[in-house]
Amino acid sequence: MKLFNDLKWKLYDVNVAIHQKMHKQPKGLGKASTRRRNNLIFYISMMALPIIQFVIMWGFTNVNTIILAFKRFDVETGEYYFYGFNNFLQVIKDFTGDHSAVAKYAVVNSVIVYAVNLLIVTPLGLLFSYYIYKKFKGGRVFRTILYIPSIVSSVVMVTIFTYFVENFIPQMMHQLTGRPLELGLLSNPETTFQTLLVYSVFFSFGSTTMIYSSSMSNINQSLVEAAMLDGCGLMQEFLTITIPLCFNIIKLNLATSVTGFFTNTLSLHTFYGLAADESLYTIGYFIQKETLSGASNYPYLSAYGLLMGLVVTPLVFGLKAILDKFDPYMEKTIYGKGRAKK
Amino acid sequence: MSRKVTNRRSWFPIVGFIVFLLFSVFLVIPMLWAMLTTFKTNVEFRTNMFGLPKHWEFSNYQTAIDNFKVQIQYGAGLRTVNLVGLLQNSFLYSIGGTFFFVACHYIVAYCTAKFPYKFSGFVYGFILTLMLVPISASQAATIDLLQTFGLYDNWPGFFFQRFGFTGMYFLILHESIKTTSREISEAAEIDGASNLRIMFSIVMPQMMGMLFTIFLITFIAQWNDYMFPLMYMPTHPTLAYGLYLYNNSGNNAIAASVPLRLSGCMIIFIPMLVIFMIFHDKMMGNLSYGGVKE
Repeated sequence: MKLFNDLKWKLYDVNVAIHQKMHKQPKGLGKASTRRRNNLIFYISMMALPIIQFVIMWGFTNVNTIILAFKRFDVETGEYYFYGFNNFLQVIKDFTGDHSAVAKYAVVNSVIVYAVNLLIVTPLGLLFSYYIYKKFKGGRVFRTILYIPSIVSSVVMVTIFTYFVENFIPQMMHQLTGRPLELGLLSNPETTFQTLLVYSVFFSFGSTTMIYSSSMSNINQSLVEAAMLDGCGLMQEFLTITIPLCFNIIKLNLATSVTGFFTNTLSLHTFYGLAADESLYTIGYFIQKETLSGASNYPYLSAYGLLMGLVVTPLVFGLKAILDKFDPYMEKTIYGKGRAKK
Repeated sequence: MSRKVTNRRSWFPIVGFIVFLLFSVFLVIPMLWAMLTTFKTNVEFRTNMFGLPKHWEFSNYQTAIDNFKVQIQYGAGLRTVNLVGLLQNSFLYSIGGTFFFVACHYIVAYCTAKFPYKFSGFVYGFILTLMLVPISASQAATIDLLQTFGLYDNWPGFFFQRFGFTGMYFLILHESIKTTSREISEAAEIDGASNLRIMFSIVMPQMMGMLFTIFLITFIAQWNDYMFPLMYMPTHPTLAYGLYLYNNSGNNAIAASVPLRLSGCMIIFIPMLVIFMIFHDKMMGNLSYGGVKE
């Protein structure tokens, strides 16, 4: 190993010597300006492909979304034609008209899912992370167990969960109480949505707990020890030291989670394919289902997405502004002009 | 002093332990139950739902493997992709897709962290804003666009799609690269090392732990993802996509048999569980977004 290391450094020295001999500065350019020029060439050549990808996959896609929102698909010719604002009007009509049950279900369910995530998953996730960060009994094992659902395919989790609540639990209830459950928890319309919510909550802690506990582990321990010596209790430490010092990541997670309002499908596609009951719809599932149903739906969906974006974007930035107000240490980034509170 | 020690004796660790224990039991029991069920016949599953199998039925796995296939549209006809084909696609999809994903994230995070041009600031701020702005229903426009560019339902198109950098990992890498030793990079520069060399031979080794973690997490997510192939790569089905179809199979023998369906699930689950058990410390210890204040 030592021989290998020696050889490596010898080769590096030779490489440096050759490089210094070969690299003659271009006439008229100083060392600093040569370096600046080389840096710029390197920067442009490295960033070019990712930026092109971004422009196509994000920029063009969103421009295409806007264009599609004003078109309609002709099933007979297989082509799109200009349709004005009719798609937007149709979306508004679907939300306000008499036949708007699906759209209303989707919005109401999405609000419920988002509220559950905000009020149950986030606080519990923070408490779980704190438990792990403080290295209490079994913390490492619990962290591993919590993360297991994140490594399992949603198809696997859904299949196991379905059979568990449809077979295992009714049978177990029958054995424990002597009274059989006539329907499984998913089959019974009265418990279906709640069961799906439990599934969504139960299997969503892995990655958030991992990120929160890793951030907590970066907290300066001398600060914690000083608080301990001053008689600070565990919950006081959690509320007055841990949360404020991790507020940046919590704020980012809370603000970005608003996108989940549109994208959370409650795993309905994995549970039911395209045949979920309308009363279970979320916005995410509605969009997913309609996209998979064919090109004729694309213009309507584009208008739907744009209108939703128009409504929710101010909400996101409002939420961020509120969170900024509560941020005890408004961070100053290397680029931004954030103000640092004392 | 004793008062202070008493203060630290909180109810939190005890309640936390009980909650975690209950949580873990409810998480592990369904998985163990499912695993045991795969070794039962369908008749035994109905009569002996909770107990150990009386006869361990390993043939369920063979039956599941034999039925693990996807029929895809191929020209005017249909083509069957069997388990080997699905595995090949899964590896290409997971390893290739993850490689391009991580490579792009590292390149952009490195450039924006190490070169403080105005454009770097713009990219960083734009990504942050992008994470906040909800963009929905773009799948339809994406499919339409990919079809226009000839990038729909083929490997080059897929790798191009994966070569993106928007999201949390960009921010995490950016923050970490910013904290890497500037002195070592400058020393190498004085020794004549090029930017490329500094990027790959000096900074990258310092970031290896985090890059490996991101690679593993992304790999697992890709391996398990069935929705992306379903939407953007319909004629290149992966194992996860195959499982989705297997579970919704019209084949009566599979549809009626819970043990057979769960055996199909275990074929996908067990390799991931093994990878996770080997690397779980690496996966869970290396990611943090540098937002913690001193």
